Amino acid sequence: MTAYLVQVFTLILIYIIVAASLNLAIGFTGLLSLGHVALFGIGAYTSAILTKDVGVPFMPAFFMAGLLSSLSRLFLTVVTQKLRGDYFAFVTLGFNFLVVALAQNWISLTRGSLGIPGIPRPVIFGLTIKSGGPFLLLTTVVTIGSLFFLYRLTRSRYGRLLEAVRDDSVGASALGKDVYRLKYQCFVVSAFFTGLAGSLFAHFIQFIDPTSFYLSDIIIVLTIVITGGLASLTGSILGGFIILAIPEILRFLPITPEAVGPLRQMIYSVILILILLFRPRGILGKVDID
Amino acid sequence: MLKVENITKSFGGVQAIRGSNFVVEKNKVTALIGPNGAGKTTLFDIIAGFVEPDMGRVLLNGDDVTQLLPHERADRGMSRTFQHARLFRYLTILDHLMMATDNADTKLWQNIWRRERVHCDEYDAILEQFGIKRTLDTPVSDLSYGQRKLLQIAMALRRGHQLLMLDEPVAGVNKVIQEKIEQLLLDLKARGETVLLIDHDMNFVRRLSDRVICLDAGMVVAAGTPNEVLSDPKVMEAYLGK
Repeated sequence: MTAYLVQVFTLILIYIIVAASLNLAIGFTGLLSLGHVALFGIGAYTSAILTKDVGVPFMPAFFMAGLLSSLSRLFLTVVTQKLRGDYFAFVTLGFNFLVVALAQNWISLTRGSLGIPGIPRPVIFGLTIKSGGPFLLLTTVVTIGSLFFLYRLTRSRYGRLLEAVRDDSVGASALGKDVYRLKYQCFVVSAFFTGLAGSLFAHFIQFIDPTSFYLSDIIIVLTIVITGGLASLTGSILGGFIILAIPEILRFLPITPEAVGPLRQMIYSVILILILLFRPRGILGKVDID
Repeated sequence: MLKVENITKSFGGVQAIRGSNFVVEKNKVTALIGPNGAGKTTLFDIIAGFVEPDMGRVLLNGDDVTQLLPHERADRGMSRTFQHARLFRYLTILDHLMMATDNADTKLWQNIWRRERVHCDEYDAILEQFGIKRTLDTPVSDLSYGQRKLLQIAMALRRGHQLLMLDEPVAGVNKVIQEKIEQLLLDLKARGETVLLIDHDMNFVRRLSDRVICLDAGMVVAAGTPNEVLSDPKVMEAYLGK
């Protein structure tokens, strides 16, 4: 039972990093970015390939995961620079399909649908981080570090400027603020932490394939962000625990294992609809969903 | 200070600005007047960089700024307000004034690792000067329409600027705030600020401006001193029709 709880808790923390990063992108720019699961996947594949196939130690691979994820987001930001609203959301959603298609078809690099098994456990300063308690500790440290950075960013003058850009980019431009550069930076920082989370995920599960980063994962992360509330990091933490812990109860109910997955998706969707209908700001949200 | 050369702008089949030319002299208050739909705000937006002209140039101190983005023009010293104050609904008065003060807030790393000491007395003095009887931590969503306009002018002034562009600064505000804004602008005029403003209140324009430019159907139809322009038959015609 303890091992099970440690596993669940580790996954919750990994998803909290992704949700908090996504919240930075959505809550502080006002643009519905749906490409985060692809960035998560890029981080996971980068770290997995570098450590398993290239023999790069975990720490450089971990940071490379963040870096490559950021670079991918930079590319996506350049492409979507002039887009807003639904168009922006659609293109970022399309980015997921592109990355999944690459993962499926670039077989020499990713092994396609076979996936990458046997991703090594992280080794830090000669210590192998085994599953269970040690991996939970590593994930906790990365989560706290990521959240601390995001907290400092969002509570600073820079964070308030991002809020200004989100609320009225024309007004911010008139004050001499380069709104494009600010959005670029915001998305790149957000992608970096998402990439780190992807690396943790790959080394935790030790197997990844293109199905690990499907559309259903966007729904999970988006539900966490919206349930917790936009522009609230505390909301993303709370949302992570609520959204990922509640469906775990299903495991203890007398239902077939095949039904657990679809039922979980249904629960996420119902929570998302209820929140949007009755509490559009989420639990701790600071801004309305326009 | 500012030279607008042969600016033309069409939106679809509608020609909003038709080859407009004028200058805004340094240390003078210039008013841009004209009936609704004359193209005043479009011209303002073109000057500030929010709308790209089809033809023509905007020169600031002799430099062609036509290709510059709005924030680059703001950094060159163009400070503007909008007809309806564009404030950031979840932020406080202090956040707005600090944002207008400098661009230190755009530096990501500096802001993460350092905490800046805020000199509240300095900002309180601005509220006092502008007659905004609110505390600095008041969210701007709690401000009245007039207070929002005052804050916007305070922000425009707070930015380092060479040219102050005010789009209908007294439109829609009550008499008390209108007088307050007028007094503030008269003080600016006495200080030798360069101001370009749009307004419909001819008495206000007459009291404040050194020069008036009248726009009608996207064209400059008259330019000169307030008395010259306001008594020009073409201006009468623009407002009242033939």
